[in-house]
Amino acid sequence: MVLKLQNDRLSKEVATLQALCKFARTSSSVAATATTLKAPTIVSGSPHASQSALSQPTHPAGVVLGGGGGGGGGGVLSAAASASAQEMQSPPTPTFTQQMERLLTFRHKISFHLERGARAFDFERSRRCVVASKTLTNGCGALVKISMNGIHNYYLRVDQLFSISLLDSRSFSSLEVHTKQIRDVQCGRHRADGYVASAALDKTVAISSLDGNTRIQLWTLDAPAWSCCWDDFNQNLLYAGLVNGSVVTLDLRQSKGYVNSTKIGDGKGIHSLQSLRLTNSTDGASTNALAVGTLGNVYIHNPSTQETSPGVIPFGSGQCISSYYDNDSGSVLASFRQNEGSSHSVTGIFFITYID
Amino acid sequence: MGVDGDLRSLYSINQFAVPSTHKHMFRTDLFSKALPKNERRLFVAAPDDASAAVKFYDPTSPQSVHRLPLPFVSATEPMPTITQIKHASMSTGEFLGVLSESQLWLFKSDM
Repeated sequence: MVLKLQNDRLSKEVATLQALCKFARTSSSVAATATTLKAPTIVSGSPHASQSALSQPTHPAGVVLGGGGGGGGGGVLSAAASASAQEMQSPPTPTFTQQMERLLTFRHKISFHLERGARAFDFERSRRCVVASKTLTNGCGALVKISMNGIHNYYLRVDQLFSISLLDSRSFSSLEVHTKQIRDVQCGRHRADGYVASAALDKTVAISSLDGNTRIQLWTLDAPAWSCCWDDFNQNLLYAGLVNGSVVTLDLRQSKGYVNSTKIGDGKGIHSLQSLRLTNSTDGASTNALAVGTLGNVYIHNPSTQETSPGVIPFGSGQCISSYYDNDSGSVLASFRQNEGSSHSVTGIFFITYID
Repeated sequence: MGVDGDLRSLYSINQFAVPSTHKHMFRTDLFSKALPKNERRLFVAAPDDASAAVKFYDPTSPQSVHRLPLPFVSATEPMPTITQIKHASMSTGEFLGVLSESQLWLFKSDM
């Protein structure tokens, strides 16, 4: 018999169990008695169990008892104790809620006061910064760049024009781009040139340079602009969604005006625009497209052919107030508000999966 | 390739409702997180103005699975009205931005 003690506190119980195990060779009734001693860290029993116990890592608070013959009672003891030991060694399986909380734990890093009129922001991945809109006291729409380079240490880089101080975050300067409120800010997922597109209620869409800290392009359109997006597959193109339900194509090489304009769906205001690529599941052909979220529905629009799909959400649930296309999953998320003008409303989120 | 006809049969739709007191348009977000075995799981992040928090939803279930409260600088400040939520993966980590009419909060993911 091999006896290994790791906890003096249990030595007395071990001695008792040893005696019990010896007795167990001839009496299986001992097993029940032994389990009443509540010694889950003790493994005893047959020679097979002995080898198994020796090969197992010893629990810090436990005792391993090996060898000692092979009665039936010892086997029961061994099985019960092994199960208990295994239970102690393997971590419990997290519940669904615990898994979700683990996946979705976001720690607050920093806050910025933008004073008022902030409606949109975007992450600029190549420069690791955030560009947010705000409204100045004179009503003009401005952009603020917030560097995230030192966010781990609560340190912010101070830029010459977009200066921001953590100690006095209410007094940073910003780049005045529009004469009215900015409704959308887009940096482009694949751009590395530091260009930021902004759409505003002053009927303009602007391009600003994060590196030059200046506005480099301004287009005047037919109606207030609610949304904009870059073409993810053509660096020269961007689109604007207007309050009159038109999607306007803009080209960086054409500063005089827009390339074309198309009415979408029922002509309601376009609050969301996103570039995506459609692949035909039968022949594999692909084309660039736009997910267009209007106050009425969500549409897929092909800017090359000017074709537009019917509304992709077949049931009406009030006013569509936002839509978002997730490129990784090929899914569209649309939010609806049931009662226009109601401060207490129910918002439905429609989840649409693109089946390729 | 025509858009009409190619799309209608390619969608399946799920729907769930979340409470919101927002008077204006706001922008929700849809993002995915990596799981073991190269799987990804989709989440919806939506504002909960009543409790000044962002609630996360599993799109297949109407119940929120997690709540992220917005830290207040001062207790005297009015409850923020969230205008946009955006998620981004960068080389330095995974971030969640929450914008109200007067403030921007940046969060960083632990995973």
